[in-house]
Amino acid sequence: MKYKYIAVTILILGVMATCIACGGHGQDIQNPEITPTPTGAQPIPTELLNMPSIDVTWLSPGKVEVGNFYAGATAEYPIRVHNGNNVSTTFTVAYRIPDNYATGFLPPTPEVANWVTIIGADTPLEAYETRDLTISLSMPYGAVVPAHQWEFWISVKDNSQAGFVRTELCTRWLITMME
Amino acid sequence: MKTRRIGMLFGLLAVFGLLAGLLSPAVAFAATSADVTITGTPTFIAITGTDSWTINGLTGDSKMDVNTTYYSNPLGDTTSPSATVVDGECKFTVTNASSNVALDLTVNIGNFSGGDAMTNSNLGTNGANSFGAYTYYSGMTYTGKVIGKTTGSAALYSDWSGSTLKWGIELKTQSGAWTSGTAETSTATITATEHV
Repeated sequence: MKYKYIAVTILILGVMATCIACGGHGQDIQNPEITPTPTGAQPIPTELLNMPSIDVTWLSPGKVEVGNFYAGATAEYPIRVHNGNNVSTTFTVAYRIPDNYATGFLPPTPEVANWVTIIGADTPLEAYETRDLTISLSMPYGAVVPAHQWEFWISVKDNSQAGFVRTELCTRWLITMME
Repeated sequence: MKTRRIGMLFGLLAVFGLLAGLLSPAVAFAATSADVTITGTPTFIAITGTDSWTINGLTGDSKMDVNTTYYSNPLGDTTSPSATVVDGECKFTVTNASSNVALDLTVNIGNFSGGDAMTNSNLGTNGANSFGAYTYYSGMTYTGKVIGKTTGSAALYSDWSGSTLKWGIELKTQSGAWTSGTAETSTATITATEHV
């Protein structure tokens, strides 16, 4: 009889261990098609901050920090672009390789360009419109990690600019991989 | 006896399940979505400062000679800025409308199109069909000028929190003779990023 109790106890422990092993997010590693839910917090409403005047084009935030990232993961975060022109304006919003890097951060590999998608920048911004654009970084399962810490930029350019000198605003994306 | 056999069977199954669970650490302790953290700093990046520049058109006749160094210096197209650059030697002005943040400013200078289509050597020096470029700003020691590349220039000004900054470009035209005789154009892009 006592063997039964011992066996049932071990069985329960075994089932629990198996559940922990196979449960939920473990599938992220086994099945690259399942990407984890982004965990980015929403930006603080701009109304609450000391934002530039309405007739100035601006970009927010200045940097996005992604931590514990890994192959197979997805990170999304909105950037906010304001059109400071009094007319509808087309902006080019694009991934780009940084000109220079934060201390300790290294360049992205060429493949990173394919991991970044930008949603919402395909139509012009109306006069003084402020728009959130979703930036999604999806690192494929099995992809080569650029570095433990690496950086890329999201560039915003006002296409109505003319002349020799033009301006560009960029958000730094600072990626730190999981240990 | 039958009870003991059943118990042993249960025991074997249980041990197998336990081992299966514990011997799969790669799965058991795989990354979870909760592990990925994303933080956006609530700052605003905003600069203004578009401008035009006709090389050798500030005090000259707007025609470029080969192998000649020009400056966007209102005091003279071929006049080098002072050892310590002053406002009057800088044609361009960038205005900071950002908030809650210090900026890094970087200037990239593209290849020319049209005419002889000079390319940027990215070295600061010219060549037979390439130009060399530097950028500078008011208040700096001129020898600290920064090479203006097509991409990947070093920051012209790092950790800037001022309201306006006067700056300029030095450009040395190609050493080879012109073959086209028609105008060529380029753009310079000043990029603002959050200083980190």
